[in-house]
Amino acid sequence: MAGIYLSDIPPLNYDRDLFQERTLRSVTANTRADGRKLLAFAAKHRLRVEAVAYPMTHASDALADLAADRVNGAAVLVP
Amino acid sequence: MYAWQVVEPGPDLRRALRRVTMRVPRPAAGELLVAVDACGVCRTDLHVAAGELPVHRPGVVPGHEIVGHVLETGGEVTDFRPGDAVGVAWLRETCGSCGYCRAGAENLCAASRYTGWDADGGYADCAVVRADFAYQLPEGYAAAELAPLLCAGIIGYRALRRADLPPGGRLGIYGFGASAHLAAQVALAEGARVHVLTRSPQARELALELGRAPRARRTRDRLNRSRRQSCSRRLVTSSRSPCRHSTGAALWQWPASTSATSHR
Repeated sequence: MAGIYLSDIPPLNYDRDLFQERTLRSVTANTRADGRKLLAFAAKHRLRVEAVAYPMTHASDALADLAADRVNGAAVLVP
Repeated sequence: MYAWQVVEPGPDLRRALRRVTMRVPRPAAGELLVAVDACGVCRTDLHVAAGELPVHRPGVVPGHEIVGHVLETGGEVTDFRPGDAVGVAWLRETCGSCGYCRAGAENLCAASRYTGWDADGGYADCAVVRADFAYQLPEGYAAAELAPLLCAGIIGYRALRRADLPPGGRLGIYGFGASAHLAAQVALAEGARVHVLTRSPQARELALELGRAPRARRTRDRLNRSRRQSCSRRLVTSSRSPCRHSTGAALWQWPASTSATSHR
């Protein structure tokens, strides 16, 4: 579960969702080591980054599009 | 310089943000002044602008996926020089001395501060960052491609490590946005079988294209043959529960006999 903010989680059914020794983990921010490892990975493996560019002057439009799920991949502001 | 500030956090995003002119910040000792070449738009920015995450600093400039170049260094900086490409990410600073920091878990430091939340970020011409929290960047990418790596990429990477997926394991990803599409590529390159669940037709198409990438498939098949494992993991990257029965919460071990897509 990776995110800084999440809507409420519906009740779990113990028998169906948690029995059988299942494990639930969350993620809080990152360490610098995570960042360096990911960037080193990206240097070795060319990642395809799906970036949708918006002019810096249109930041609120980019946020509105993200809120409305109109961005496929990542929105990026450029000067 | 030109910047956007969160002036009125709330659901009306056009009122939440305002374009302003402000003074170019000065780098203190140990800091860099960075000219912004690209800044990713993260869903966290949306939560801050919408007031779902209360701003830690009134009028904060959002943005924590900054790719730029160093304009000026403060005193005592040795790792960067003016002109160097540099990345600025979410984690802005930590105390460096608490138990978490000493144990390699600085992400849990109680005194941690964040770019674009506790201090001004990259929706601006320039930003300041502590040199020891700035990243050197890989070559071969445009600035706009690198920016999403700096939060979406990193957090997806950490989530994947937290999932502890065994070699050749099966990964279910719920929600397929900026973070997931990068984490999926890391997982594929490391030999995972990846299942994606998302409502968006465009995101489904992107997931299928990434899954068909020849290099990823070759790596995956080789690893699957050599070290096939029965464990699998689910990774939730959507901020909304994908559907009632998935419980919206899941990053857990799942019996191999159960398909990762069977919750529907």
